[in-house]
Amino acid sequence: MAAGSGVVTGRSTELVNSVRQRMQLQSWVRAVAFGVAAGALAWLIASLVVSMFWRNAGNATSVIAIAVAIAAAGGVAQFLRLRDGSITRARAALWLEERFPALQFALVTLDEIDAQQSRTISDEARQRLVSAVGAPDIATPLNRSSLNQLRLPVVLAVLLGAIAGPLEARLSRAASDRASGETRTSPKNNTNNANGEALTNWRVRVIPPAYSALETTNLNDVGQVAALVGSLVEISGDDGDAPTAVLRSTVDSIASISLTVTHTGKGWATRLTMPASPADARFALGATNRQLLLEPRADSIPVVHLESPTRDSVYREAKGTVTLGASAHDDLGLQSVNYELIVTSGEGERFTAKTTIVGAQRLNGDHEYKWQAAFSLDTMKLVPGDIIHMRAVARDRHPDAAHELGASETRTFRVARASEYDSVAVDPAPPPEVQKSLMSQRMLLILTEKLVARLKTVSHADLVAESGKLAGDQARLRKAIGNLVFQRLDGEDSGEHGDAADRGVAIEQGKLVITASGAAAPMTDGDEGDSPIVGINKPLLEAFNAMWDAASALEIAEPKNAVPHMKIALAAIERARSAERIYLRGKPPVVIVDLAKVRLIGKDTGMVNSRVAREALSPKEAEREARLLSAALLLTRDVNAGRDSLALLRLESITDAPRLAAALNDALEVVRRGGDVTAALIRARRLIGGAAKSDSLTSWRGL
Amino acid sequence: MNGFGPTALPAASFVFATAQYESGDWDSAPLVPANVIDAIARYTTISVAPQGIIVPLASEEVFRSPLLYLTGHLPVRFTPKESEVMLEYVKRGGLLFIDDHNHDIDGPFHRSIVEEIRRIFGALVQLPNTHELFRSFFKFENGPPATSHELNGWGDNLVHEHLMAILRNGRIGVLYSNKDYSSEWSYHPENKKFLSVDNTKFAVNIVVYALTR
Repeated sequence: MAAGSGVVTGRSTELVNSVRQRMQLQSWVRAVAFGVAAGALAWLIASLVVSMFWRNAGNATSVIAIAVAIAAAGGVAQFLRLRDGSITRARAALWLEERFPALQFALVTLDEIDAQQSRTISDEARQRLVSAVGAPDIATPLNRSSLNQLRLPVVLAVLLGAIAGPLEARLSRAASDRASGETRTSPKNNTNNANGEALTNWRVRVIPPAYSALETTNLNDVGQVAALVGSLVEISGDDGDAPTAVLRSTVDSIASISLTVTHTGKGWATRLTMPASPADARFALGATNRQLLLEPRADSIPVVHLESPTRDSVYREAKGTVTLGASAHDDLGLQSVNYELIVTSGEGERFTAKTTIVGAQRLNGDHEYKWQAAFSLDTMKLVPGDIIHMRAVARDRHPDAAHELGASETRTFRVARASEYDSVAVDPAPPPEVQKSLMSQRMLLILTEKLVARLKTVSHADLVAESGKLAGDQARLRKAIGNLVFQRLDGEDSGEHGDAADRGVAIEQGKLVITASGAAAPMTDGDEGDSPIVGINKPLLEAFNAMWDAASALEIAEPKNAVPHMKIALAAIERARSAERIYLRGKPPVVIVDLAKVRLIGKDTGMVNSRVAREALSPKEAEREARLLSAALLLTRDVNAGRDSLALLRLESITDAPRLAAALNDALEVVRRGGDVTAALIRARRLIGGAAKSDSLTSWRGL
Repeated sequence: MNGFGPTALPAASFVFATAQYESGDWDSAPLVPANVIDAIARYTTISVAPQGIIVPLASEEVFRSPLLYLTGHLPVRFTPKESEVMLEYVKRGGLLFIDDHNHDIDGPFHRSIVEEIRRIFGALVQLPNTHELFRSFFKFENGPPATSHELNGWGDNLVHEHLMAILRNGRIGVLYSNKDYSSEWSYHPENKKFLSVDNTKFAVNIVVYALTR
């Protein structure tokens, strides 16, 4: 029986325990659910309050809200736990008795007996109690109870959590934006809400400018685009509302430009032109932002090299043809190339410039190109002093006329001035004798050649007359050349009549030769080369001698034989004219500023003392001045009376005004001599006031 | 240097330097340095050398001068060495004052020098007439003073309202003028007494700006 009673007791205990544990769990879950709901509500309220009263809270909004929520949840849960208390076995048994009235408190009694381990009850009575308890189906009431108890708190917790989560996140973001002062931009991966879907999968299409001949590029969901300036950038997205878009430069502070976003059948689209400076396009849709960085690529200007001519030059005469050669390169293709010639003329303050284009070619987008051109100096009507500046120019296919051209380095050709090497301090001189000789010799040669051409038609008498005349001209020219040579040697031009041998040149049979003494002179010193003097004079000597031969032939009416000698003379003069010369370059005027004078810190300070009024005379001095004036007037009427007045005044002044007395004495002496006493009286009058007269003008300062 | 060279002066003396370059006519305004020196001495207490110097643009002597004056009539083409020195000079804080002696808007010097400046330094920008250059010593409320050549209708018959400049870190590195100050200031300083208004005052502003900014 003991064994059977134990089995019965264990069954009732198991039944009560299971109910008790279920109720205990149910109480915990209910408390937690209410706690969560209260926490969510507190989270929401705290976020609202903080964002309303602390506008620059930033991330602190979330921290504060979470802290408040945890505190509220814990407090409510703990409160409910304390209020509900622990679930005892008796409470569980009574809960079952309440659900199953047929038990007639048998379970409570049996559980109480088991709890007290009472032996007062008989086995028979126990058996009846066990039979009364039976095996009730406790699952249904337990489930119903759980549903009733937990429905409200769980629904509240879920509902408030669902509301508070996103709302608090938005409030926190707004607070953070206010704190940072700018619009929040979330990266693509964070766009996890419905609105963000429209910004996560956009497409970008880059259409380069037509002139670049580049192909259109399609890009999927990129955050940065690099394209040629002026390219059309189209951005489009699907599955979502149209965002707002703003273009803003990242370099300068120009105002932002709103982009027009249009709705399409599937989504949205917008377009912009690649700006010249880096920029970003910002898209916003609801709480989600995203940006597209725009990296402009500039159209580089063509790179041009002038390959020919390779260096600058100076022309004595603007004759001949100049060949130009250049190469050009461009990243997008060349449209045209040419050479630019700038001719500048003038000097001093007056300059003119004329631009000429040569060698222009139109290309079809070549990336590399070499071309040549030529121009004739003869046709450019250049005069001495003109400068030609040459450079190669290339234009790429950029349509803007103001787009920069590619230009090469510049070469310059200059036409020399005849006097450009002369010092500016030298007065203009008549043309050098050698220049005139050249012209004259050429003219004589032409006349002689004409005479030779007429030999068969001209009479002998005329031939002798004309040839003799040419011989005379040739002799005079020879003499001029001789004078030039001797003038350079010793400053005198009487070479043929002087002792030429002493100057290193001797006349042998009418011709000039360099003598042995001359070989040691400056004319021929050095074996490596002649001095400039010799360099000029040697051809002149040669010309002189050739002229002698020519004149001799002309004198005997053989102009044909004279022509070769005349040509030799002309060539020799030309060589002398182009011989190397040494010139001094002019120096600009040197001005040294006298700083002390400019700053007025020298002897002349530029400062003058202020004049002060003369002090008034004392009564005694005033009385003496009046007496002096009276005496002066008296002298004009009565010399003796005036003299006596002056003498009396002198006596009174001897003790206290000796200088005045001396001046009056001088005046009396002049009166005695019968001279003009005016100056003496003026001096005496000045001395009455104590003023001193000086002959130096500077001494008058301060009076 | 006839005893007036920079070595004979206190180290702190300002020496007016004129740039000598290979191409063109760098020495077209030989009296400008003396006139500017006269103006500096007349209006300021700056220790200044009584005579300017001429420095080859391709030499490192350039770096001893805080202000470098460059002018000319003819087209200019700087050698690679000159370009290198000029760029380094401005990088080191020097002020290169370039004046077009032609005062023509499209004259040969203007065209070539603008190209050369752009090649070496970049594009010139317009200097606003409120820039501190116009207040660095004398006040020029209307910007750069007009020259008599502009007012008399010489050259391009225009009064150029602005100067151009290359700015580096907010400071003028290259100051470019096509107002022809080289002609305006090219007279012997002794003749300044004949002017009712001294037209070299703006030169003082340039020097003071170069020395103090």
